[in-house]
Parts: sequence; structure tokens; C-alpha cells
Amino acid sequence: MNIPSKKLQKSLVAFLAFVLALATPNISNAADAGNGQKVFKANCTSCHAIGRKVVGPDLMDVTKRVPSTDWMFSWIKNNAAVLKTGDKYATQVFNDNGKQAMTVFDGTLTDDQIKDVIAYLAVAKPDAGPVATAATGTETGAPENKHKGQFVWVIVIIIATLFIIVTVLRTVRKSLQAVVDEKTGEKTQVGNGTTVWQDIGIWIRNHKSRFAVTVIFFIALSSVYSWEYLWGIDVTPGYHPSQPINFMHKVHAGDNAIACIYCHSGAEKGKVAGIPTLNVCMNCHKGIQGSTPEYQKEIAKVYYAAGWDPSKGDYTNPPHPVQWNRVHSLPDFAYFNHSQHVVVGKVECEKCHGDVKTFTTDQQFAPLTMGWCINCHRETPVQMEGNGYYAKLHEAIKQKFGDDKKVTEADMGGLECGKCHY
Amino acid sequence: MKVNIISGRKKLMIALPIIGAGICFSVFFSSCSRNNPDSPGVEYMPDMYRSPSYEDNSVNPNFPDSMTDRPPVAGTVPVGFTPDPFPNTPEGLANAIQYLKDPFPASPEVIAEGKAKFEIYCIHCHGANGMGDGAVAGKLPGPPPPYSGAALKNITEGEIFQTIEYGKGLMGSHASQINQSDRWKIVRYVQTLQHYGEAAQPTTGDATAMATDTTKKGK
Repeated sequence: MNIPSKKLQKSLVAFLAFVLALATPNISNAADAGNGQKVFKANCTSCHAIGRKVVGPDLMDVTKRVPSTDWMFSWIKNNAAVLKTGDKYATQVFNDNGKQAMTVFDGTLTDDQIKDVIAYLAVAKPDAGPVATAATGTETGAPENKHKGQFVWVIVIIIATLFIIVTVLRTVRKSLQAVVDEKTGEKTQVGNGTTVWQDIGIWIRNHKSRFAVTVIFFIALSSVYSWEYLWGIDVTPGYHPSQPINFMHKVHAGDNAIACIYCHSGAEKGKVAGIPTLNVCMNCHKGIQGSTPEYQKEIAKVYYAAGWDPSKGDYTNPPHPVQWNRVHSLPDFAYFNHSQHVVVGKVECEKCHGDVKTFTTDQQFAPLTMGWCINCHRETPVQMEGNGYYAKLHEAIKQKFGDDKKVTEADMGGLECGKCHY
Repeated sequence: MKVNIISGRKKLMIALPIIGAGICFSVFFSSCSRNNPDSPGVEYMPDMYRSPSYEDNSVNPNFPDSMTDRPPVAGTVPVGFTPDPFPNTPEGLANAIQYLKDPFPASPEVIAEGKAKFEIYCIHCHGANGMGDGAVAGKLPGPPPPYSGAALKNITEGEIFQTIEYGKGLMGSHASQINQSDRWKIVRYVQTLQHYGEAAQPTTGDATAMATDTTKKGK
């Protein structure tokens, strides 16, 4: 049997296509909008949405505003080629969308797939919008502090109640004494014509040892508490100031498992871990506008600060730098370098910052006292294996201390004053 | 019963410890009533803690935009920094695709280092295998396309580098977070992910899978 030549094959295909074209007068009928939706979801949604602008323009009713379906087809297939022809509408679209070049789909999508996408766009309905995910905890504030406040009130109420009881009892006693005096004809002075202070004095005289024990107890107790309090001055673990934007580490580092270093990239590179600049926020929030009204409100603050106009999809507004409130404040006289601890020391962020993944309000975890620094330097073994940074030094240390001993930072001079204070 | 009215001096002797205890108590309770979360509490020597110098991220009245962190002076570059040769324009991208080459070899060490950085800077959107299935991807209007899919399978190292540097589509520029050598290491790792699951069947999100769908429909 003769194998048909390539030319014959081609003409056969062309004939079939012609027949098909006759049978199906226009594209939208031939193309499968259902399949178009699949293709759209797989290839276009990184930049386009129906009903709102993402990176590229809003594609709601796009088929009605473009010059023609053929234009649309050639634009999707190779927008760069259309732009090169100097097409007026194409240039306008390009300029209106931040002059960001669209991906060329020639070679990635077949002609049929592009037709399917156009068919889908002709009937596409707006997206349901960001789907509200399971509500995440929004409670803020520290419960311990509320309890402390309540505790003080309980004490005040107890004291007030005791005072009232004492007053009532004194009045009762006085009238009873008066009655007794009247009957017996005697006149005692206790509780009669004496002040409260005099009464207390009399009671103390009669109960000297009990009074002494009580006084010593209270003085000891208050000394202990005062001592504790004085030690706590300027030591502020749990300090959680409110922030201009209610940023939640729980959502970012917890639910979305974004690495700490992604935003605090300075921690690997230098002294300060750094508060991320807004362009880092916008890396994700260009596309994510919030799943709940509260989130949307906070993310709108990010847009305001960055000068981002979500409707235009561009930084057209003036920027307003965010004035975050500082949580961790290490005094200037103590030198601390993040990269030294994170990269060389291989210390986990959580060791000093706590389980940030669960924080709804940022708070200080470590006391940041010198004793706390020193303790860690005394206790933590230096990770010398596979730590190229101090390879030579580590070799010398191993010789000095022997292979078996756990070498700590303290052994390496980590307790010298000049290490941190200079 | 004998009258016991104590003298003024003795009264003072007794009152003093009580007053002392009262003061101590009030101090104690004032420490408890740190209800204002915006205040770190009593500071013994505030000027030791609050630096008179301007610190990173602090407000600085000397600049019109009030920020202490300054960009480098125009026309200067940091020591050891090479300005990127190709600008963020279609022509720049075309040149980068063609001429920009990774200075690092595709050695296992470089790929491992790239992987470590990838897991910090890329994984939450692009997913562990570059399939566009990271934790954040589902919240974006559309997930990033898979590295091993038709759209990204064959892009060059120059284009990957350029994309990290300037961003593309929804992806923003990561130049401020990832320095050049780390970027090139990530490129080496991403190149391995472009061949992810090569022996296996193409996944459903893949354009090739779409192509088979259409051929089936055509029949």
C-alpha cells in the first residue's frame, strides 16, 4: 500500500479543517469553554482574574472590548509580535498595565487551546473572590495582664469589705458597751470615746508577739516582692506593644509556613535581622487581598503604606513608611550580631524569640538580660562539625580540650567583657 | 481594766513599719498593673536603652521621607557588588536569556546550597518540588506555573536569574532579599526542578496534559 506523501497528508488535514470550519461557523461554537476554563486556570491565573485586575487587566467581558476575536487570538499566541507591529490597541494595553510583558504562549498552547480560552472568556463569570478559609484566632492582648488587674481589684474589694465590717462591729460593740455600762453603772473606756487608732494600740499592747510576727511577715513578703520588682525594671519579656498594622506571625510563619529569613533576611547577613521593607510584603500581597474583612482592612493599610493602588495594579500613590513599634530593645552598650548567631552559631530563631509561629501579637520572649546571654554561652555546645566558618580555630580548640569534651562559647572566650561591650 | 492609750512616739514606732509595708505593697502592685501594653514599664536609665543615635528602621527627622535606612548614593555600588548587566525591559530580558550565565557549576554542593536558599525564599509559593503547590500558592489568584511544565521547562538560567531579580507577573522582585551569588545557587537548584518527575507521567496542571485533552476531544 502506498504511504501518502507529506504534501498529501497536509492537504488532507487542510480539507478536514475546511469541512470542520464549514460545519462550525464561528469560533465560540467550535471551541469548548469548559476546556478553556481548565487551560485558563492552568496557564493564565498567575496574572489574570475575572472581575478584578491582578497583574494583567481584568478579563471580565474582555471579548467585547478587544478589536476582534482574531486580534485576541494573535495577542494570546504571541503578544510580543503584535506589539512589534505597532498595533494601537496592543500598545495601549501594554502601557496601561505597567509595561509588563505578557508571556508568549506560542509553542506552549495549541491553537485549539487558545480558542477554547477565548470561548471561556466570552462566558466567564467573576471569580467567587478569595475563599474565606477557616477563621484563625484574632484575639490579641495578654491574658495574664488582665488577671493581674483583676487581682488588684479583688484585693481592694476585700480591704473595703473588711473596713466596713470593722466599722459595723465597732458601732455594735460601742452600743452594747453603752448598754452594759448603763446596767452595771460602771464606765469602761475601751470602745467608748476612743479612736480607731487608740483601739488598735490597745490591741497591739495586748497581743505583742502576734503583732510582731505579722509585721515581720509583711515586711519579709513585701521585701521579696520589691526585690523581684526592682530586678524586673527594664526587663520586659512579654512586652507586646500594639502595632500600626496588626501583623500576625501566626498567619505568616505558622499557617503559611513562610521561613523567618524570608522577611528578616538581614539575620543571615548582618547585625540586624531587620523589619522587612514593604516590597517584601507586596511579593505576596499583590495577589492576596485578605480572606476576611479584618484581614482586608489590615492589608489595605499595607497598600496605603506602599502606595499601591489595587485597582490599577501599580504603585501610583505616594508611599507612607510604617512606623512599627520596637519590641526588642537591646541597649547600645551591648553588641549583638544576628548573623554571628544564626549562620555561625546555628542558633534557631525560636531559641531567643519563642514560638513566634503562634503569636497573634508580637511580643518579647527572652529577658535580654546579661545573665541570660551568659548562661547560653556557658551551656550551649559549639557546633563545630561542618561549620566551615571557624574551621581553623575549631581545630586548635579540639587540640586544646580534646575531642570528647563539649566545647562551649564560654571556653572560647565568650564571657570576656570586651566580646560584647566595647 | 487599765486604760491603754499609747503615746504619740510609740504610735509612730508602730505606724512606721505599717507605712513601710504599705509603700512596698503599692510598689508591688504598681508592677502588677502594667496594663498598658504599649509601655515596656518602668525604665531605670532610659537614656542607656534608647539610643540617641538613629538606628536601623528608626524614624529620622533629617530626611524628607523620615527613614534612617538610606539607599546607596546614586551612581555608587557597594564593595564586591556587580551591577546587573541587563535592565528590566523586554530587550534586557532577551539579552539575559541569551548571554547571562551562571558563574557556579552545577555541582552537588552548589545545588545543596541553592536548595537551602530555595527552601527559605521560594518554597512557600513554588512548593518543595517547584510544582506551584506551596502553602501560599492556594491563596494567590492563581498558583505559579510548575517549573517542569511546558511554560517553564526550557527557560534558560539567565531568565531564571532575571525573574528572581526583577520578578515576573505576580512574583515581585527578590533582589532586596537574595544576593547575587545566592540567586545563582538557587538557579542551579531550580534547574534540577525543571526536570522534576521527568520519567513520570505529566501532571494534570501541565499544558501537555491539556494538549492530550484537546486531541481526545478532536476525535
